[in-house]
Amino acid sequence: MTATTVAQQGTPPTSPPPKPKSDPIDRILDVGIYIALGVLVIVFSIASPYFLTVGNLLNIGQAVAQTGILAAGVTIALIAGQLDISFGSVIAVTAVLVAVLTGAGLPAAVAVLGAVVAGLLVGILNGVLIVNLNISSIISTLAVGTAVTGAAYLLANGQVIPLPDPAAFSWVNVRVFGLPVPMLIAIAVYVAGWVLLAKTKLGAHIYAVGGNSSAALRAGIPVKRIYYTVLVISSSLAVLAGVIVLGRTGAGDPSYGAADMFTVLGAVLLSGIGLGGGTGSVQRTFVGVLIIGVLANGLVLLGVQSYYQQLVNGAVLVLAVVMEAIRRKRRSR
Amino acid sequence: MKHISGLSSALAISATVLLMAGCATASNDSAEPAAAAGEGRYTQQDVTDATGIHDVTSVFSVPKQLPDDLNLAYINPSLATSFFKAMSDGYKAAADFYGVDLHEADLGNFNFADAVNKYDTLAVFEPEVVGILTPSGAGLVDRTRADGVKLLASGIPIEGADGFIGTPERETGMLAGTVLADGVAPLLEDEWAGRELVFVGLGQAAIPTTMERVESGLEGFEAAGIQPASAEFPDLGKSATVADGTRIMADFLTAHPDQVLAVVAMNDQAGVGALQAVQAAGRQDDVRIVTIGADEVGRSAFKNDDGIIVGEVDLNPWGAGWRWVEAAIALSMDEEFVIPAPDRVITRDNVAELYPED
Repeated sequence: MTATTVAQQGTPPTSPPPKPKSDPIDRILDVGIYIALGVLVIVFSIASPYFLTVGNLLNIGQAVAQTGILAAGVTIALIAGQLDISFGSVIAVTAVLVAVLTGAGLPAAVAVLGAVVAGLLVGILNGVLIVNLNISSIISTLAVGTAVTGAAYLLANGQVIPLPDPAAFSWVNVRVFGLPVPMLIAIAVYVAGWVLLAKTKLGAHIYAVGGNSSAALRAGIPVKRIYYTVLVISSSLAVLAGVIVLGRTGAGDPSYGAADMFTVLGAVLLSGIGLGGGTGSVQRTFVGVLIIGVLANGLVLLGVQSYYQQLVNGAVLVLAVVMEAIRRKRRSR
Repeated sequence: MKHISGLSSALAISATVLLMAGCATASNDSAEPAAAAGEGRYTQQDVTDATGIHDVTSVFSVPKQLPDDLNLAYINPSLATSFFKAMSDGYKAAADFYGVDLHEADLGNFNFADAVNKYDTLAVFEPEVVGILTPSGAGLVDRTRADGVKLLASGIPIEGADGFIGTPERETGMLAGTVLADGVAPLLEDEWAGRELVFVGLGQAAIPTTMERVESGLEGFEAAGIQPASAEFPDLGKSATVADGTRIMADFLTAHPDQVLAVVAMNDQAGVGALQAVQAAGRQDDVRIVTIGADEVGRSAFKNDDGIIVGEVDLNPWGAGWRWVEAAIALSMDEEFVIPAPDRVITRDNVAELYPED
């Protein structure tokens, strides 16, 4: 996970990794996540008359938007071989900073700009630790995240800061053509993520660096710049998610984001992305996000106690990890 | 084997979900209706009979005939916390007793950022009243208002909400302080004579109601005639768990090696955490604690508290859940409800009598 601990041999992939040979077992493993989502939708549709309604499906879309935006950023960073877990703290500092700045009389746009700058700084700081000081991305982003969370608490003086003018962020709760704005933003993020990774040179470089950074370096790819880029993308998307949370709740709370670790990493792991980098796609992460969201929604509709919900979430994650292990083992043959 | 893996995960998920759905209704704690259906309203005696050992003081005399489709929803801040689990059991029992539908969502470990999303999920049931305990409810006010749903805040007032039911914090804190003073007074004339007394209020700086509670504890303590040399209010942080209480108290004891401490804890978790820190430090002779809540965690602490816990102000969490339903019904009918102040204190002498099921 550090910039220099990847394999020293081989040529870098310059595009998303080629599909494995058309083995039916591999295909089943690959589509398992889609099957799981389909089965969940069918089960919940049968079990609850409320599930398969337009209103509820839009609720799911709205609820997963924040997780989805975060997961897209984490996925892009992870494809490059960097696991960014500072996103929760960026949500917290974004929500608090914007609430504090607007409370001080600054226009909402300026306050959001301040949060964007803070998010960029977090991404750059992560980059410095990982790229320049060669510290593992998990440790670096954990340390930075902890410090940033502390800063959010300090900024808020431990309090929940209500927005002085929630109307300035009411666009978050607006529906356009019947669709919640956060959902539309999340869709836009995923389309942009897909284009970036699958259709641009930068995307090819991200896969290349994640697959084999040494080989990528020899091939002339600016590895360090790629690392900085993905970390800044990740933290910028966390700022976006933070603004959405702020608009939804109407207040900046330094505890925001703390609970997103499981759902975001869960969605990313469900996609079958390898922690080593060089593989994965935002499309599959999108399905992982939907699985987490459908589970959270459906289990509440069924009145299932939250303890069981955690059990189910954990079981789904274990299954995802096992599937990925099997897939990796087969590919290594 | 590998061929099965992809399909098996899908099947396992669906099987688990169905299994869980089966568990959902069986887990509800329900009370038997105390009075036969008929004209009029349920009386306090009906409620007393129905709630048994929970001994709920009703906040609203609920009509025996309610609309068939009266539908309530509650967003619980943390079912993993014993207070809120007991509250959950209480509101489910009340909903069952009064014959109203109640749907519940859980914010996990106080994940308040998810409150509006959880509301959206519950909104498909078209509740008339939704309840929540949150320090950041502005977004929820807007959402419920847009849907024409009444918001009944619970525990922490929300500006703009349609109603609030909770503990009168000042009276609760005053009672805790008075009980603490009763426990400390004999010591000040004996073992603690001549030693510096520090009042400690364990609250959450981010939640003003909890601070009001422990600050009122100091007021009650002083009103009982005891003047501490100083008063401190360390912040328990976001969750106020047992671990938070232990951590904060351990540090506090280290910083106050020679003083004697009179502690009011905002909840049982913090109080029990503080107790554990005191026991670990071997400072049993230097500290006395009163907690607020009297949930299962707090009550069980009497079994091994070395006499450190003087008493627990009984907020009756199960009863708080029951009363939320009564208040929600009142709100749905545009009628008033009355919030009672707690007046019962649990001690090691009466805990077995008041909570025989423990």
